[in-house]
Amino acid sequence: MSKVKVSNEWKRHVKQEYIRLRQQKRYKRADEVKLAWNQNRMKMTESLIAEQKRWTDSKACWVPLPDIPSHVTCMKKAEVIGNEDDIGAGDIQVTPIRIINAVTPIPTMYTWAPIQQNFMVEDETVLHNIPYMGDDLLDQDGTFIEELIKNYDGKVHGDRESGFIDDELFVELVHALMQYQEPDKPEKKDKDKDKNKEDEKKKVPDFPAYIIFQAISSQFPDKGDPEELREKYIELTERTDPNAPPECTPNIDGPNAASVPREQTMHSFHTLFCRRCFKYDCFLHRLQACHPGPNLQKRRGPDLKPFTEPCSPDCYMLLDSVKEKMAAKAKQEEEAKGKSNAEAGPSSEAKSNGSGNGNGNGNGNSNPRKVCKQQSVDSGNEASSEDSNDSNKYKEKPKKIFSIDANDQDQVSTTTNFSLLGLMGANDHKEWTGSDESLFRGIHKIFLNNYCAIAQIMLTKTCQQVYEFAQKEDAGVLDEETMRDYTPPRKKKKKHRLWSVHCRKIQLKKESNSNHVYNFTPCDHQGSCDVQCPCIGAQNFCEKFCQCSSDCQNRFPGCRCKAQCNTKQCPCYLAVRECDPDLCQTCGADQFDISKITCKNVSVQRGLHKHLLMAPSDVAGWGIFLKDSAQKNEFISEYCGEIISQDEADRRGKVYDKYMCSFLFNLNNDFVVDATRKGNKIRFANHSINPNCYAKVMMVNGDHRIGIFAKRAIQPGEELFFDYRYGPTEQLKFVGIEREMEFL
Amino acid sequence: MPPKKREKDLDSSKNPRIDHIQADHELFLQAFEKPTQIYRYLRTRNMCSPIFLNRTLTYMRYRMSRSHKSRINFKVDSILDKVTSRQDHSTIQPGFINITFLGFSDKSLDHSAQTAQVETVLLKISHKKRKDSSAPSMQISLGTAEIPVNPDDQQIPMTAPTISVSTDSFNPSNGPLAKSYIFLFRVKIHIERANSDEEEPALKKRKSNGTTDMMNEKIYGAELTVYDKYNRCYLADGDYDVILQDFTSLTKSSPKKPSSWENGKDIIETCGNINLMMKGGAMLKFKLNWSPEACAKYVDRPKLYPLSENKENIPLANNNDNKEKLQIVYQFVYNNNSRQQTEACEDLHCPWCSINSDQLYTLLKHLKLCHSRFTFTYVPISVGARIDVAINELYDGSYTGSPHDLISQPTVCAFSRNGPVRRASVTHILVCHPKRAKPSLSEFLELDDCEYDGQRPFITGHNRLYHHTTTCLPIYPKEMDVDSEGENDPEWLRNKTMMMIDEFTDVNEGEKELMKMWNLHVMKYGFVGDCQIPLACQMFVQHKGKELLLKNLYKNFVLHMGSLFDFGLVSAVCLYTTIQKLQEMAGETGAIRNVLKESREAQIDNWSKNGIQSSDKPSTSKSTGRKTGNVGMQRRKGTPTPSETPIRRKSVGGETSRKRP
Repeated sequence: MSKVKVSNEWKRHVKQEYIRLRQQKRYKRADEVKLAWNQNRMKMTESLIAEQKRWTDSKACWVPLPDIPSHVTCMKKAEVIGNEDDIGAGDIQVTPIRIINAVTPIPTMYTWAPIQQNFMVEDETVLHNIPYMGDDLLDQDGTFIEELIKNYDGKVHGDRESGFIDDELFVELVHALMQYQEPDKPEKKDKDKDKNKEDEKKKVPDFPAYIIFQAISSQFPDKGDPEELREKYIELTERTDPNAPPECTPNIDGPNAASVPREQTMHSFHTLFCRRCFKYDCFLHRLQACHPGPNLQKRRGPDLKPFTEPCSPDCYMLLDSVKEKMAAKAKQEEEAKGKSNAEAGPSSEAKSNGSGNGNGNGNGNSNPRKVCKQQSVDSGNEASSEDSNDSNKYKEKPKKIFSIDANDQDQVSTTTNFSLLGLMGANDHKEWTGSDESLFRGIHKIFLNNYCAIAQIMLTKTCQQVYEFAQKEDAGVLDEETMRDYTPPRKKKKKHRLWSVHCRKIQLKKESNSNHVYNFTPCDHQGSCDVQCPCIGAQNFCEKFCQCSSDCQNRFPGCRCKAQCNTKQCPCYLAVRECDPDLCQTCGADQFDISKITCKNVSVQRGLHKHLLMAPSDVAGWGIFLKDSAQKNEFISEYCGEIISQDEADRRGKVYDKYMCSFLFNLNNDFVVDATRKGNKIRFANHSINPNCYAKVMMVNGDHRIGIFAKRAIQPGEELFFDYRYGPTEQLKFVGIEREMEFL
Repeated sequence: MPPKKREKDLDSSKNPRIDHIQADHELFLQAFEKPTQIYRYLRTRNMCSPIFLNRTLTYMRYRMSRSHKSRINFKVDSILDKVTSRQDHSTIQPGFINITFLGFSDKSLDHSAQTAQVETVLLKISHKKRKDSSAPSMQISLGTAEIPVNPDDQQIPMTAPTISVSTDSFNPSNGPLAKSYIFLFRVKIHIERANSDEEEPALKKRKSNGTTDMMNEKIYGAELTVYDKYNRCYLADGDYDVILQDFTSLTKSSPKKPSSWENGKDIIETCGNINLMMKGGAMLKFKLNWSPEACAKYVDRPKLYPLSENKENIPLANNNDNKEKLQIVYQFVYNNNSRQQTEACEDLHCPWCSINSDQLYTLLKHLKLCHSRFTFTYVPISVGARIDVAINELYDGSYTGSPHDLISQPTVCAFSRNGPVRRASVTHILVCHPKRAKPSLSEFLELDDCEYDGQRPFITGHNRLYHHTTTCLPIYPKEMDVDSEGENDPEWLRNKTMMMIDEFTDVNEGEKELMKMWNLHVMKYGFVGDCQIPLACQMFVQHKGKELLLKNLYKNFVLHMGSLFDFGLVSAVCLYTTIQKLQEMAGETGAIRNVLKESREAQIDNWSKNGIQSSDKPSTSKSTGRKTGNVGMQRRKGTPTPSETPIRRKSVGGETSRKRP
């Protein structure tokens, strides 16, 4: 494309329209703000009126204490002699003077929001407000604000930047400029111009002339050349096209549910779920660059095996074609089962299962529909499974991954007592709606060819219909054979051996450890973890969130402690990590019920903080005090706050330094915890060179977190201090007066 | 006591100072005046109702007459022996009480009579029967004795009359069951008429009203309890001065109950008694001792028992006469230069509260600890000691009571007696045994280096007013146990997560609703490990299952579980059982069934309505299969502009919709 000279007229048009649109936007925005303000105002007035009404309606009134104190005779009295004009002229009225004690004013506090877990926030690239620190300070040091603005590259919130264009404005600008196309008609070689003229009023999205993009580009050179702008315009307008599919997949439970592929159905869930916090769009990791999606190659067992009996008269197993296949398979299975039963100690129950299976093949119709096998669980088998500490009644404990056998499946009731099948007309369930199809695709991968289960969960289809649809779908469904491969190998012994090696490695790692601690990001590279792996590069262990295999050499093995994990005997404690509930299972870190945990090394993740109370400090400002006593090295609280980048911390720190009040706390090389805006009570702990607490940055399930621990035994009601580790000059800057503390 | 006062007098008379210093001097006086007034006031108050006894202070140990030597040999096992022996004692040992009368004194009698007759009567008071208005009593006269009236110190008779009372008479065996035994003393004096007419007209009048036969006799009476109804013996060996009263008024003054709070009247009465004694009212003196055998009717006049020193009662007793006299000079310092010196005084009384210390150390310690509005510095001088007194600038007269008293408490006031009110637990250490340094005067020499005072705090616990961390409102003691602002999911955070999910433009409303419910659930219970997720799902169904089904989110929940499965957090079996539980709930409630049914019908209607459209649309989707779907999805879901173009959506002010990264 050759450089076309853009006429001054076009430039003027662009400028004019741009300013007009900006102004329009500003007015609109101002109106919005006004509206929102008025709405807020209305809400407040409403609540005030309601409160006023409550006060007037209630009979509450102030009752002066009628009882006279016993020492009334020696109290000072106030005396009044009635005026001559009054009724009680000359009367002397006496009342004892009660002195109201002076209440000392409390220190100032700036508003903050309570959190119990860190909260990551984005960098602020524009200065949101100019901090007010009193008039005199600004007079004294006029350069401060200038420097502050410089930190933000001169960007201040609400500033009218000249070159600002966003997508919406860009499209509007193009449309606005299209009205100038006509006078320039002869200059252009646009093929659409005739059409454009005809239905300009009716249809805007006719394609604008190229000259427009050129003009914009010349006016705003930083937004790209005309070609780029043109492409972008196409992209943007196409998206806003009303005929284009709606933004998101329709609700699968809604009336407009569509038939979409599995990836699309699951997309929202997959992309928003935080595998580390178990929440959607979590506060801590949503902004991190690496968002680990699900590893679709791994499956978590135990799998639900195809049921051995037909689930209903409409079961797919009763189809002739299936029966044949089953018969062939049954033979093989019988043999296998016979073996396994012999190993496990044959029980009558297992035999009856086998016979039931045979019956099912023969005359399935006569079988009762509901067979709840949960009641017929062989207790002997139950005990043999490693379920010795039955904290939760779940059969899906992680240990069970290694013990898939025939019994596991038997423990699951194979029927449900609810279905929508009967509720609709006879033929309704024959129809596959989009919702049905999407749901089927969603769960097909989970249950594979257990069509009975799929049908039960779908509620709207019979087993046979599901089977037929599955055959039609013909998707690359995982076969039972491939599924077998996922059964993890039994490698307990091997793991244990590895563990001792690991422990040695941890020690090595610890020694070689430099002062730099880097944030952990789960790795998702191909192959095993080696020098290329980011975890190894950052001197971090691989965690369960990494995509590497669970026997990766760089994984931390967890501990095998049976005690409290509060000495250096515990490898977790030694590595300054909290016990991982998925790795350490002998210390009780995996228990959900807090009273059942013997491990003392899980306090941060479980939030087992001490009860803290805030009061004016004996030293400066507010202070935080312990309600109950604490022993040495006992966990007090986590230091929570906003997680910000080091750059952001530098910028914020400039302001905090001026305020002489800082809640910044270095977390690791990448991030800083700032408890100024969000935090928990421990933020009120003051600095002392002779503290009773200390801070420790720990790795807690893949996140660095700051724990505050007792440095010595602390009595109830004592104020808490820890060493902020200031430099010698900063110390005085923040805590002006550090009075001599009273020691025991 | 008066040195301070003296010093003030001095300053007016002795100091003809220059005028321009006068104003400054006024300031000096003012500065010292206030604390002095306060301490003077406190002195008076402490004398009337002391808040502690000085003898209990370590440095005032010499005031303690009692020793704790018996405690050294004390054994727990000996308690029983002691009690039983006491009980043995209480069944009265055979023996006699000997009462040797020494004299009767009544200053008003004016030597008109030489002797008086004392009749001793034993009054036995028996059990009070239920319906009797008064307890039956019995009087046994024990004999009379002649005693001198107002015996002169110079002319004490060599012998004294004695009455021996056998203890048998206190044993309940003879006579009806007696409860308490009281000695009554009746003193009869014959008075010449002429004298009595003039001096005691009131007495005469009364007598003429009541009894006519004792016209020229004066009768005094007194009672002494020997055993009370609890069989406690009140009389021990000793010299007794019994104040006698008119016999007729005897019944009025009953013995006071031994353990009860005295009120002001009692004190006044007691004081009145003492006054009477001091004034020289009627008084009978006798010596009482217990002995195994009776005495003769007249015995040699016995010596008095030695007066045992009870220093607490006689605080001003000066018993260090034999010590070397110590000169003490108080020097008052103001604005770092001395202004005033007292004359040297020799006693060790505190100038403010006139308590007598017997050593200089004690005095200094007392001054330092009890008069902390001043500072005292000890400077040894040739004649004795100089004590520099200055105003303690660091004196912290702040309120040391419970800070909760300072805030008004709603409905239940801190001082109210309306009902039990929870209070913050505070430990005040009342007994503290820190290691004490040897008493030495050196600790008063310098002001600053008194490290020794660094003791443990005397008040531990929650002796302060706490505030709520977000509102700064005071925390009342009854709210102390609730860890407010300590929950995992504060309201704002719950709203925040809901708002953040609502902000997405490419997540449908069903997904949003489910995600919100799940997030709130996880935030509330705080699940930490993969191994807890099956439990989390179970609990979710348990707590929110109904709500979820009523909101018509069944399939969304299935997809959510599928997603958990994809992430490897739950197994297929877990998924299956969880959904089973949910279905059970659906089966139980008709409302849920209706919701599911309606949603299903709506879907079918919609599907058949759009049949024409869907006829070609599914075909395309089906023919192209998943792979093309994948491409389409990326375009749809991918963030269209921000990543590639220089314009960032993020920077748009007022942008409310959020895109997934």
